[in-house]
Amino acid sequence: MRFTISFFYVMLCAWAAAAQTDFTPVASTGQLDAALTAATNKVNAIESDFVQTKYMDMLSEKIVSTGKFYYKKANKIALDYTSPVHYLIVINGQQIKIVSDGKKNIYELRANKMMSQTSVLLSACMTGNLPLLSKDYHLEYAENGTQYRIKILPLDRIKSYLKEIDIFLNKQDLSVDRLRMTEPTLDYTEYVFTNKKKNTSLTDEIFRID
Amino acid sequence: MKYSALIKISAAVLILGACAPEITKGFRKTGKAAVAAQDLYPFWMPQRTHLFTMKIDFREHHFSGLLLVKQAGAGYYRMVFNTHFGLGVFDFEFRRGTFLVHSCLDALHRKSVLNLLEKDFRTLFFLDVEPFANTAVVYHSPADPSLEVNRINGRYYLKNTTQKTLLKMEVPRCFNSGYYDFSHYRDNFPETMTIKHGGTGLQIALEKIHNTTGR
Repeated sequence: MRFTISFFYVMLCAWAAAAQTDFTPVASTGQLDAALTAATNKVNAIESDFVQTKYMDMLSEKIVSTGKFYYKKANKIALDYTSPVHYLIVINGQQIKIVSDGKKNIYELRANKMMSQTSVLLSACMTGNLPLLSKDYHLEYAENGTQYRIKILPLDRIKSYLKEIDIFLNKQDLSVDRLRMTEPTLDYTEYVFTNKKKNTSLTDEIFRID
Repeated sequence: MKYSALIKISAAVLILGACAPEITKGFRKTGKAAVAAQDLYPFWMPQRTHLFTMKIDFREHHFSGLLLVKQAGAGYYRMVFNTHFGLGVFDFEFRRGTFLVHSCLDALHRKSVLNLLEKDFRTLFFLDVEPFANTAVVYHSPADPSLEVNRINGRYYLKNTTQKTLLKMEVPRCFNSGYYDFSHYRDNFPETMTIKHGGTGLQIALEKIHNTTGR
């Protein structure tokens, strides 16, 4: 009798845990799209910490990086890596600046279609502003008790280096909790965003290119 | 006629001079010896994973990312290079007789680039040296008895026999010699490595990173 009760208790706990993590398709994607559009329209700036983990399947290894993420409407993004090394990526309009080891490289996104597409994709994924994405992507929507998961499948040549992207949105405020970018080799990079602050007054200095 | 011969001789001297290794300047050839790979003080440790920042400079271009190197077995290395953003750039596997490209970004997937990277890292991983019984031409420095150069199959290895560290390597080629420098040794491992190619102006620099695998 005691064994039977224990067995059912364990099964109940397992089922409850699975219910929290298992994702099921979203009933109304149109409603979610509208909610996302409304949410992103209210956001002028985002500031957060991030932990980036690169998983390499064949090697059973991972590389962990940390830093700060900044976003300012409409097209300014900065990723300021603090470990394991200092590294800065700034996207501001049609320009991208990369600072590594004190050396600065500036690129015009207009001159490189792939870079430009990737920049739009990253902006959309990191801010949850999915309506930015064009017909070159197939989106699949799912949800569990606490999050929406949106799977983005590139249809064009971006798929040569990105197989799929999974964005996990917090149901409470539709902010991005987690982002997973999977490569064709099945290695993937995951970003976890914490200490998120919306609509802080970010100076343009953070996004300066020159 | 004599003038033409003089030009030809001068040209030959210049070319031969350009091909001469820099690593043996100030050294005297002292003989030959049977040298095992271990005598060159290789620093890669079996079953260890090393993480580096790798910076590549080519003329006005500068590119950097994170390089993971794992010696997965004897004479077997796996090398994965990612951008700082996490995107995979290439994944190579080196063994004594083979070089396997597991993945590589299209922009780099060119024979000339792959050949250069394969040669550079095959040398860096000591895969050009037999484990035992390599015949080496030996050079010593009159100024510093602890320094010794070994030439094995056209490759030069400068080592400090007192500290038991490898300081430099050189692979002479007429117009694109490879120069390898190892410095900032810590626990018998050089934390800074550079590979320079004089002819092309290509430079690769590795700086070791500690404890960032999340373990």
